[in-house]
Amino acid sequence: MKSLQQVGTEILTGHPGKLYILTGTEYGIKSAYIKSLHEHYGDMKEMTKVADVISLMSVKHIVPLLPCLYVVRYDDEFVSTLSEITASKLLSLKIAGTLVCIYSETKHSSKLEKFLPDVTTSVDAVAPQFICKYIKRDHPELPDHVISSVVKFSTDYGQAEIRASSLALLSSEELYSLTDKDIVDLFGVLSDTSDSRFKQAVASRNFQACLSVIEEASQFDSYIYTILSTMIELEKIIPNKYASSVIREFASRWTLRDVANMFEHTFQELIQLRSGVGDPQSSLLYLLGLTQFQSVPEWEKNT
Amino acid sequence: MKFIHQRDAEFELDRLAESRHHSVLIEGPAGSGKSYLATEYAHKLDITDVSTVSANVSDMRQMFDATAVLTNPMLICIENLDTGAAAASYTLLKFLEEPRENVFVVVTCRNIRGVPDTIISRSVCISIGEPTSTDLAEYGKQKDADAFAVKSTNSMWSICRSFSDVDAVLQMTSAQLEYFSDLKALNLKDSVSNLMWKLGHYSDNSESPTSLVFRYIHENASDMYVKRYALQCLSELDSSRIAAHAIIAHFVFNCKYRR
Repeated sequence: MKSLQQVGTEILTGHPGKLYILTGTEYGIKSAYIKSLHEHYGDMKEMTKVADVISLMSVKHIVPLLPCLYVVRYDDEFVSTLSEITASKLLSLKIAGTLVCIYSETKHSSKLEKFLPDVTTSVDAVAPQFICKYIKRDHPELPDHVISSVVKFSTDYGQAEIRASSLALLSSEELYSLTDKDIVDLFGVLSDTSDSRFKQAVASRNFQACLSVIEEASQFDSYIYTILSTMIELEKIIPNKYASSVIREFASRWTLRDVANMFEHTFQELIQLRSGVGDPQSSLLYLLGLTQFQSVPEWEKNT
Repeated sequence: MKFIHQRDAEFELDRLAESRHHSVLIEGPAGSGKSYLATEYAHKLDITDVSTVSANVSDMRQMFDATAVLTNPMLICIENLDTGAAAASYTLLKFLEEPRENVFVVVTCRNIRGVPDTIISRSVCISIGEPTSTDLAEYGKQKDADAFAVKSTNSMWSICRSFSDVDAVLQMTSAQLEYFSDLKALNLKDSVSNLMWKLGHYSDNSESPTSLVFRYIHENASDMYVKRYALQCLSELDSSRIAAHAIIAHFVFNCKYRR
């Protein structure tokens, strides 16, 4: 399998290869690489199937094609028909530019790594030091301590990039005076400890552990959003056994149906609270109680 | 600029300006020009000092405190009171109960049911609807005639419902316009978090206008569930009571798991 560092070096130094197959759950990094390649070539074409690109490149053109970035997303048909022969055909294809194929499901990763190991790269949760590097490249005006704080309080590259982009609008004086606390207050981030603990407690469906976290809390609203983000993360990692996450070990305690139902219950409680009905503490206790059911019941509207 | 959908409101404001009414409540959909009407009211009152604040307690208190030392007349526009906290309404109510002679207040809201009765009873209420297609075209031409000439033939123009939609479309690059066509190929097999990213960002990673995205999906999706969920999403976005990313996640969960 090709390493992420090698892919990054090739793309970011302006010497991209002809073919990249990016698997894994981390979308922000893939998106950043595609953007980089797009800037390099000046032109990008989104294609539906890998077979279309193969047909395009196999035909002799009177006027040669200009180098361009071709992107194919989630072409299941290509993976299902992948074999030694089709892999060899793709590798020997003369591509005018670069072809990037994007996948995220586990079932695709293993087959792609088997037949196309030299061009397949898994982009899962990226280590914080690399996220810092990417953010520094995208936003050179941000001080190092601000970048470190943003990465420390973000769950992945995508979230860190959004936060860094918003901070980049501040003046230099404001940026240099920012502290960790300022960043936490600005983005409404729960303290690293309590947010992470609560997330793990919800994912583990451990009612006592959840209670012990919220007993220390004075504001409950943000915990309701934490439940939503925990469900989004579970939905990402349940089908993908290679995805790394702080709540990885608890993924087997949930089904996708449970996750969807829990999300719906939480969202509907949020709507009620925003309409002035109920109080956050009671809503939180109700939601945590739902995790104790063997299967989280489906949300039904009260008539 | 004069707009058809604001004609009745303009007549009403003319009448209120004659009697120098201190408190006006304007109800209308997002991006329909409520704040613009507030500045028009200031013109009719011959007031040049116009300040706009959001429905936030600290901002409002600061503004009201500042009026205590003013001698020149001023108009304060409080935007979207119905989306603010209850405390913001109480702060305004306290000010309206003891109005200052040289201070005029225009409050805007998207849904008058979200405004306390005590404020409604102290204000004259005006309702405006969505801008007409003629209004949007007129606004577009005035804003940027060249961009309007190009963009008004694009399919995105047909989903514009407000002046803010027009602003967004006029500023779109050709790559950003293509993004909307690519929405049709959105793959629901992708994870919720990845789909949230795609729905919230153009291919160049800049943020996409969420309301326009979901209106486009509602108008162009063939699946009735997707259409319904997109409409629900638009309603939730309009209320502005829940974070946009949670609403987008809700839409994606619905499309993936509740069909």
